[in-house]
Amino acid sequence: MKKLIFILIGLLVLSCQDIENCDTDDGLDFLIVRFFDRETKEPKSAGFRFTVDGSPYRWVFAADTTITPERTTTVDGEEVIIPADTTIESDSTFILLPINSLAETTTYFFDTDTSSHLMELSYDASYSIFDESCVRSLTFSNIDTVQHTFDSLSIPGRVTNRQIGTNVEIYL
Amino acid sequence: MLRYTFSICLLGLSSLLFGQDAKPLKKKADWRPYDLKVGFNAIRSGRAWFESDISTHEGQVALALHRYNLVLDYGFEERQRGDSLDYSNSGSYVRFGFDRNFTKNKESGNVLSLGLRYARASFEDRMAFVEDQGFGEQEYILTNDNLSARWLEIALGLRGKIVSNLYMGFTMRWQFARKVEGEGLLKTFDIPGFGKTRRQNSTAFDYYLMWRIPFKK
Repeated sequence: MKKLIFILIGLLVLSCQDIENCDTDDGLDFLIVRFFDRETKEPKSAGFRFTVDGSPYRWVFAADTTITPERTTTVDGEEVIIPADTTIESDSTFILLPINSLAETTTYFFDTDTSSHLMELSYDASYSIFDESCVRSLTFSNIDTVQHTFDSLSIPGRVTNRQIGTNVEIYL
Repeated sequence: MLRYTFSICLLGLSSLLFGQDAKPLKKKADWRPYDLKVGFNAIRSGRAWFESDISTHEGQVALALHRYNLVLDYGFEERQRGDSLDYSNSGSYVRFGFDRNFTKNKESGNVLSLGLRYARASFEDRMAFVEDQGFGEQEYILTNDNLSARWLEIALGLRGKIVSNLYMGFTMRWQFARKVEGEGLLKTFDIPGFGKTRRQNSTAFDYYLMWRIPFKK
């Protein structure tokens, strides 16, 4: 009988579960890309426009601290650029890239006045619910390069996660 | 000295023989079933009655033999979850296993038990939301149509007679060794009969109302 009482108390203790806090969800739904100088290996500022395959936006990655997404549409036969409501934080040495969760790969096109580059990445997407009071959680894993045209590129972080500061390093 | 040694040995032998006489004969275990309890999970049915986002019922059958109960649970569950998203989950589950009854008077039908269960669930889930992930605003509908899960449970139970052959009592469960199969892009949040998948192990508390059918001997 005493053993059963101890088991009962143990089960009661186990049933006291803590309440989930949405802020402790480590999932990230974008890619952190950092730019480096190929000679010195130091962080490097970069400025260009880029587009993502499947996205209606084109992003202006200026050498200031924000990235402005723009969406192009056609009005009376003319292409019009519509800025999005949000900007993406940056410090010109890194960029946060959207990833298409409904596809197995996403291709990014980077353009400056003098050069063009592309980068295609493969990954596994995973949606989950951290807690029913939170928004959906999205994480990408097994991130890998399919193709790219940069001088050098490495993937130190193969999972998008708040604990991981860099997913892709691009050397220019 | 030899005389005393012989007397001590004789005394020891006689006490051994006396001990054998005093030992009661061990009754052979009777493994014939002596009652069947049929009932339902009152907490689940109560929630289905009072809460709009869940529909669930669970029945239990327990066959008593010697100091053990063979237990079978079957239930189904349909559930909506989420404040900022639309998540739904529906399916059925079955648990079976045995309990060891620790009550001394088993003929009373009362039960204080500790047991083990193996559980399986077959279910489907769906999550839908609208958002712009950098690819324009679109509706995301993620479904898993053919999910299955299995797990083990340690169950601590108590059943007491209320009136006539009506019994009631609780079962506390510690659920562990969970495995889910069939997940796609969406990782399931809820398993019918188990609960949230956020934790690998879980606990549950259920309350049962049961009707006892005693067998004649």
